[in-house]
Amino acid sequence: MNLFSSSILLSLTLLITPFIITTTKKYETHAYPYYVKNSIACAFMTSLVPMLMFLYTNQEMIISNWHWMTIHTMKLCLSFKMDYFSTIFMPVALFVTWSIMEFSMWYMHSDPHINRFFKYLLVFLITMLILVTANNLFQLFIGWEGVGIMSFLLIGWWYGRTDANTAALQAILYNRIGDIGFILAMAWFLTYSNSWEFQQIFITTHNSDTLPLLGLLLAAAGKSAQFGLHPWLPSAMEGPTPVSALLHSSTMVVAGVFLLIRFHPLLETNKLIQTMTLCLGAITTLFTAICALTQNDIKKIVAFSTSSQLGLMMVTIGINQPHLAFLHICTHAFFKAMLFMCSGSIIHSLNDEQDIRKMGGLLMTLPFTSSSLLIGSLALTGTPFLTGFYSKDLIIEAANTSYTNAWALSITLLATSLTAVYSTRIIFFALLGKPRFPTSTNINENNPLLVNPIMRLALGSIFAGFLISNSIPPMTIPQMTMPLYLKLSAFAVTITGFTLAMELNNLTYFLKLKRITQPLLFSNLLGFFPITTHRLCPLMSMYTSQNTASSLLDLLWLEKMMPKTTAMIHMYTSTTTSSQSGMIKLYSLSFLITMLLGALLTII
Amino acid sequence: MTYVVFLLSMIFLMGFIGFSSKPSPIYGGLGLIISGGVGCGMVLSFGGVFVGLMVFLIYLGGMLVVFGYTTAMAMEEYPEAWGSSVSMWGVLLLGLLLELFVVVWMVYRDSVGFKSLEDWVAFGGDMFSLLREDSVGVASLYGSGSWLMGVAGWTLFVTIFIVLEITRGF
Amino acid sequence: MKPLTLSSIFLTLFSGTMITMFSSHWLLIWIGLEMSMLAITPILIEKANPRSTEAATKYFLIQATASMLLMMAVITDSSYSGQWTAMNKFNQASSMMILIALMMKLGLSPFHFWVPEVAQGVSLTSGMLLLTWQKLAPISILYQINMTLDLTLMTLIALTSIALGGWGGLNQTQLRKILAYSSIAHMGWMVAILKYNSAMMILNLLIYIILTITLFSMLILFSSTTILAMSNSWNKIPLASSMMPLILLSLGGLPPLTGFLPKWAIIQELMKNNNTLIPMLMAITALLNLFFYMRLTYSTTLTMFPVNNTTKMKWQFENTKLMFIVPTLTTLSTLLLPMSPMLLQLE
Repeated sequence: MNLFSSSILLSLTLLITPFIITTTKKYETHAYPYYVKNSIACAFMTSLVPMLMFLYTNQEMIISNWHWMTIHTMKLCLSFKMDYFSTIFMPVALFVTWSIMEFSMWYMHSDPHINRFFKYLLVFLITMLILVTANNLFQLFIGWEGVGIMSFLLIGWWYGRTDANTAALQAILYNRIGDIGFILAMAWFLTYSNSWEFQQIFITTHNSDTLPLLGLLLAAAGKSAQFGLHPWLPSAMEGPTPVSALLHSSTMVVAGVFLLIRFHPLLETNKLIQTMTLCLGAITTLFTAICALTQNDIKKIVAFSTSSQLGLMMVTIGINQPHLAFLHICTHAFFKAMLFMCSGSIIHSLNDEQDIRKMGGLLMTLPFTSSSLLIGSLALTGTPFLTGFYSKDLIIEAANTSYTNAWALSITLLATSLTAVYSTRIIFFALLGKPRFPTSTNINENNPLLVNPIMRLALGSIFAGFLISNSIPPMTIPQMTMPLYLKLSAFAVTITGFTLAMELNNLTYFLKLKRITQPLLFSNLLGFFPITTHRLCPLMSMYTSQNTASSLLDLLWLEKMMPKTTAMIHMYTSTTTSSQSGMIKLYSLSFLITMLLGALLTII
Repeated sequence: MTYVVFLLSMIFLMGFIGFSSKPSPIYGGLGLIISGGVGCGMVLSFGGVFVGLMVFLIYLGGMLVVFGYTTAMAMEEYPEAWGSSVSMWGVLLLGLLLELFVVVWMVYRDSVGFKSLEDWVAFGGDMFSLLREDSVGVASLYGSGSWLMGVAGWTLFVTIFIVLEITRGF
Repeated sequence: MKPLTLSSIFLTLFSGTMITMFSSHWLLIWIGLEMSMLAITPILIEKANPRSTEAATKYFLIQATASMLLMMAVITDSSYSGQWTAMNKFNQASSMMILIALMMKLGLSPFHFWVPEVAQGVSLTSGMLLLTWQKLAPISILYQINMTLDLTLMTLIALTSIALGGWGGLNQTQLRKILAYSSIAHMGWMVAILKYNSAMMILNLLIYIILTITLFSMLILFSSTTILAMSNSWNKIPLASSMMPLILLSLGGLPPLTGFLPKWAIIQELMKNNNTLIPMLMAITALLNLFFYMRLTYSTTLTMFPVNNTTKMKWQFENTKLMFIVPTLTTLSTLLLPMSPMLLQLE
């Protein structure tokens, strides 16, 4: 027993404190955001202790101290797994969240419910940390669902707006699709491993069946917005910018990737799932990069870049390099949070203007934000020796030197160059050129609540990658010997992207777009995906339901076939049998016929 | 003897068929009278001489009234006889054919039995004959069930009464 | 009609039916039938108008034909067996003929045409006699000869009678016709149970007669012969009008009322004999009857037919019709179901 477990638990307790004081009077004061922010800062400091101990002595730990329940032969414990992943992820997440909280105090200062907003952000973070530190599937599921429901509340923060509500619903619905996979996997493990503890699952599941892994892949695809289940991520931009920052950097969206990393011991033996993960990631990264190319909303571009990076992480898992994927999660958190915060700063300064065509020349008016945005974009594209380089370059190299699917590799490389293209586009339209916003706009960025967090994250974007990748022990070592052209390929595609983008963007000064082309439409309308899945499919199913329920069932079966037909038959029979003319002939006829029939009956 | 009865009963039926194929009332009455007369002949043939005669007298008396009445009531210049319309012919023909069918059927099946037809009331030779008990029963009905006579008389009385009520009005 | 005439006619009518019921000799049975048939004729033409005359003529023709057929059947049979007793086992042809004769007298399915027409042509009082008292004699004959009748044929007749009674009633707005069709349907129920439990048939007849007399008394009270006239009943005698739906639903055979008893007992009896399809069909076709009773109920009580204000005062006038028996009959025709154990003991 040393400082390790106590500091971890202290860190978690510190996080819960502001949540507990929401029941007190403190919750209604203006000081509450400070409590939250400072608690997170303290938790970050505390969580550095176990991380450093881990870096120094490679100490890992499982805290399993509360027997929760026993169902038949399955024991459920409340247990925290403090291993390589969670020990490193916790400080990173706390650091990024600390900055985001501080930024929120500036960004949301006029919101009447700012205290509740902070509480939500805090719970969001706590659930993410529960997810990361969980040592069994049930605990992980609590974190998983907590993240989902908090994302719903936060994306729908401005619930007066239809779009925000729609986006929140989209997020929750797409996540439910993923949950099907998660619950499938849980049920499978419960049936075949009789446990939800990770260790026991890994021990008992030798032959690595495809079904639970497919479920996990579906869950990861839902949470991490992989192709097919991706539309909720760009829509989630309807939430406040701090929410986007938190959602896209260290929480929620990386949960899916994190789940696959956790289950890597099972994944690495199943080639089918690996290939599927690889292809899914590759498609996602290319598709979302293409979508990002023609977006005009600055937050949308950043959102699609996140999606693209998540695809890259999936590719990394697909080539059997979970530690690299984890590294990319950590480095990505810094610059992506910062990019969002810079976007928030710009949006706020321009009176809630998000269209990059109406920006321009911000380099002069917002120098600090602009430089941070530049750093973030460069880090995102993998410029050497910035944070992104240490993970992204490694991933590309690992992919290049592995015996992998050449198709997936090539589209990943293409997506990498497209990263440079859309980053250049943001820089070119927002920062360079001449201002295209109204002249009366009151721009300033001298609030320390804005500057400090961005600065911290900017420093992180520059140095974090170096520090992390130098400090942590490499768990699986990719082959690092390769020809020069392979070594330079990642850099080369990025440079190509930059160059092409600059040339194309420069052309916009001189050339007018003649007409909308099909590729442009494809990219701008997000590959027609929302139109198809959100309009056409519901329309079809609703038409089918309407036809089935109203026309077929109600109208035809329940009305026409049964009551109407019965009534008609009875009316017809009634009028036929009882329309009498009062002729006595009828009596005689009936008498005659019956007598004849009777005679026949008797004779026979 | 049997064949006489058979012939008579055929004429009996023909009379009714002629009546029921709806000619003018005068011919209808004719048909009824023929049938009535032949009916009495049938009763005679079975040996009921007295009954036959009585029935003939009463019946003919009644029927003559009806006949006269109908003739008087429905005096037509050209009364509708059986040959005056196709439908009448058709009905007459149908009735006769039906009768023929029944006769043929009866002859072939021999279900009625010509041999024992006269045994209904009395059977035996010329020297002496036996009366069947059940036909005696009819007589004893009137004998021992004398109150039945009261009922029958009352009924007849009421019948006249009712007929008068209906026809005379209220 | 003069009192003396009337009383002698009624004496003949009642004594005719009585003679039929008491007799075991076919001749007397026949005489009784003829007597009641003859006696009812002037009652039917009580109000001498062409319609009632036509109705009486039709009735006379049908009944006379039936009586003739009955006599013929009896003579044919006696020529074979030499017997005149009603307990005698008939041969097949005679049985068929006698059945047809009784069907004509009762107005069962193929011979049901005369019932609504005759009932519609005569006055309410005569109609009541026609549909109740005149059923007694033929039913009593059926009761006596039920051993010789063919089960399949009887079931067929019963089913078609019930169905035709239901369908026919659907198409009517005239109350007497509706009651006539209801009578056809009830006769069907009676014929259905005849072969299984003939005492139950008598029970059904009893309750049918009670219900029909009650309903006719009500109609006489309101002097109404159409649905439209019934819809004005609420401003004549509101209390009696409110009892109307109960009597109607009782006639339709709705559970807490008297009319449910025979239907219940008959269905149960048929089920006891492993006969499920036929009672089901009977019950379903009885719904048709219930439907037109419901329609009557609807226009009589459940809705208030709009009338002008002077009409609304009618209930204040003194009722001149002497209807002392109506309350008793109404009670009998609605509340007799708790007596069912005793009534079923009568079997």
